[in-house]
Amino acid sequence: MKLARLLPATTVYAHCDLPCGVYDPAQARIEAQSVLKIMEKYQENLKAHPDDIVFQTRSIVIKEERGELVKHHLWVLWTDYFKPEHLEKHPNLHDLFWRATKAAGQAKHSMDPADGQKLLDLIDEIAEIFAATKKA
Amino acid sequence: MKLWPVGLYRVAGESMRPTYAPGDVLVGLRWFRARTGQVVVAHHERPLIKRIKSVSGRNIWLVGDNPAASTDSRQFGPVVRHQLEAKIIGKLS
Repeated sequence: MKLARLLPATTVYAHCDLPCGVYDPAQARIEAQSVLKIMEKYQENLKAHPDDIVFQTRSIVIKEERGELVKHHLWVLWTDYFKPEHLEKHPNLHDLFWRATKAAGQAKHSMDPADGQKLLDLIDEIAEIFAATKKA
Repeated sequence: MKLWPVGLYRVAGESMRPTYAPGDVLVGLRWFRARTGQVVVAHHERPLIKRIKSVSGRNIWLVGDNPAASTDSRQFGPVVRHQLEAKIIGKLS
């Protein structure tokens, strides 16, 4: 299965190229919640069943996928939704997205729920700005 | 290269969910007759993956399986046969 992903293949786009207007930080948040829950369950399992390598391996693999989706959804928001006028009103926007995507990377490296929580907190900060832009 | 009857395609984007997800590697058959319901690789500015909703004369109408996240014939109109490169016949990953 993983091997297939290494094969040379033409990229075909299933993107929304035109502004369909469907943007929501909830997409990133749901994936980040999965990341956090997986970390918590992994830690519980490690204590209760230290030899359960199958569960632990699956947790890492699935967390990796969810973490990548968090990055993707954050990038879509950052590059497609937010506009220069939003940046004028919220000058910390670039820094916030930079820290959030970094946190998503850290959450991929780590199995520490604190890293997952940090990612969620940053997404919530983005969601607050997003909500403010919707009201404006 | 494109004369080869089979090609591999990697999906980028969300518009073919739940059928295909980003990163899926698909097998496409380049020799085919366009039919309603097929998932195809089509060229409109860049290679796209969409489903054929209808074929009417020369006009082929394409849509994504996830319409909320898709740019397709609803925006750019119908395509014609020579814009279709392959029909998807399977998934490797």
